[in-house]
Amino acid sequence: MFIIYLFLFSNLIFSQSYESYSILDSIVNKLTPPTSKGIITQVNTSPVKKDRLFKYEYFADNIEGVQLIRYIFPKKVKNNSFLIKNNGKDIWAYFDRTRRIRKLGSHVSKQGLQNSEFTFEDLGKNNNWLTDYKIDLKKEKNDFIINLNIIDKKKSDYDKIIIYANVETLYPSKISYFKKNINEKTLFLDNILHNNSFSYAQTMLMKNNLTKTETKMMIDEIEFDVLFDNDIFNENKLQK
Amino acid sequence: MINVVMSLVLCINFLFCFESSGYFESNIDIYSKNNINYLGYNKIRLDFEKKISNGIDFNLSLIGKNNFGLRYLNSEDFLPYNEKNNFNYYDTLQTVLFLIDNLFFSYNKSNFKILIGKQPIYYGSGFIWNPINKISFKNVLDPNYEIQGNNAFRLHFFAQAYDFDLIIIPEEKGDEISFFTSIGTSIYNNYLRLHVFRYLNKTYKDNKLLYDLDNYLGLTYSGNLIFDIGSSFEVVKKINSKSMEWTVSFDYTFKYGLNIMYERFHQDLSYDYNSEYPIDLIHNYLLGFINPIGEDYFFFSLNYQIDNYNTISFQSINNISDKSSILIPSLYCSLYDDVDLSFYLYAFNGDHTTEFGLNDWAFKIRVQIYF
Repeated sequence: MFIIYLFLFSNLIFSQSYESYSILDSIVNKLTPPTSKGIITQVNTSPVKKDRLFKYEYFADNIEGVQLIRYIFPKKVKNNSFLIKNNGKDIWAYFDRTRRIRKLGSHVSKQGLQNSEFTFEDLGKNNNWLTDYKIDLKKEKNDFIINLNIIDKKKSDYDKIIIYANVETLYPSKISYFKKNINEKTLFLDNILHNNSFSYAQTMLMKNNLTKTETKMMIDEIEFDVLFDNDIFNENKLQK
Repeated sequence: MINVVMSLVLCINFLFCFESSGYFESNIDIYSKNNINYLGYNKIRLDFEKKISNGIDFNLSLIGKNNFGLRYLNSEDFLPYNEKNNFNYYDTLQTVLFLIDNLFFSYNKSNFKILIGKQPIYYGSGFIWNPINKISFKNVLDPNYEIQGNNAFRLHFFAQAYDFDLIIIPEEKGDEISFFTSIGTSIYNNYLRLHVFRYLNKTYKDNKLLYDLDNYLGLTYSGNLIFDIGSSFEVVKKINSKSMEWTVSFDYTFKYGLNIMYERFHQDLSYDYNSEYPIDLIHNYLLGFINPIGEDYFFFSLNYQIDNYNTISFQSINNISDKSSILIPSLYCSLYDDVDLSFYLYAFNGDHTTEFGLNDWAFKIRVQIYF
């Protein structure tokens, strides 16, 4: 009898953890569809300075873990590009004024994109949520609340992440990032639209709760299931 | 009169069919030597781009510049002092100058890219010094500034795991060409590039201009060797010679925005600095055949981004060979999205026979407006 209980209990535990994993896996895939391209407007807001506006073309192949960002506005940075490989660990920069291509150190992946609150790492596919964190899933009304607690602190900058995702669409509306138990940044995903089997937030707002600065990313145009040329994500082709 | 108006209309019409951008730059330098001098310029750069057909682009860059202030420089104003200096070279900065910086076609087709014409050519992994690059030298005091285009034919081939680059440059000697080949690949986030090239070396010796066609082998690397520290190196060796040049650099950006960088450079020039540079070396430096003039250097910089708009930096360039150096504290302000203002103070350390001891101090103000 004890063995039967043990079997049922372990089965229950296993199915719950499997469900958490598969839900988180779906969320990660919803946030970063296999391939996409679009035009994004970025606004950096600070409580003490005037807003800064940037506009860029965005190309992503999340199967290969590469993203390309090419600035359109302002003119000072027009055609400057960042090629982000290996989910933010390998960054190449191209400066159009000097026509120079330079590999940036991987420490830059923790830095904000054009001084934004989005780091290069944030722009990549968050596969490490599935491997580097202990997953704890709860359901409250229409949302899944997923608590991610870091297993090995050396592996990520954030030691805790809380994701609030809609039960039906599995698309998050809010993600809180914690460092040393302090909620340093919060990402709000608004105006969630559904395009065939793809979902996307037209507006993403990353708030830094410590500095009170925030960055809003607005998707002006988006296209999914894109067939890219072989060499679009080649560092030597960053020069237009 | 009608012809002039027609030409003007046609010219404007021609330029307006291009996608255009550019900038205006105003620069003032004040420096102290025996007395205080100032010189400066206003510059406009216009870049035009036109997509001619699928894969073919045409690029044109025009520069207009007007110099003001001190315009007559003698050799002692920009070269280390040498007692035997008997050439009394002086340079006159033209009041108004127009030039075509870039004029080239590019053709992109599947895995190939071909560029023909006067084009910007940059390569190498070093921030200030690129011994692998014999085509275009950076300004040591302003390494991020644009470099004038070179007349060249360039072919780039991209494969899945590697890329191949070929550059052919017709030399001014007329009957020779220099060519540069390289092959690059990425291994675990580290980028390696092997270079093989043939370059027409020019040397001024005993009042004669000598040409030597030399073969070189080189290797460049950039990546993160340890602890996420950005690192790069370049090494280039002249085949059948002991001559070797190399650069190694490290950089790191802390989470609170402080960037720290160190770069070390060495080249073999076969001389010993002995209270002054040999006159032949000064001649070759003046003619642009060698750059820089010393054999060993190091560069150190600290950059701190105060906010989205302001960055302060402190740089130091040291010529180890003649023990001279420059300290450069600077402030960069982004006044508006497309307007930058920067201030640089140069504190020179060394006597007048050294590379960085030419002046006592200098100050630079630069405004750039992009459009």
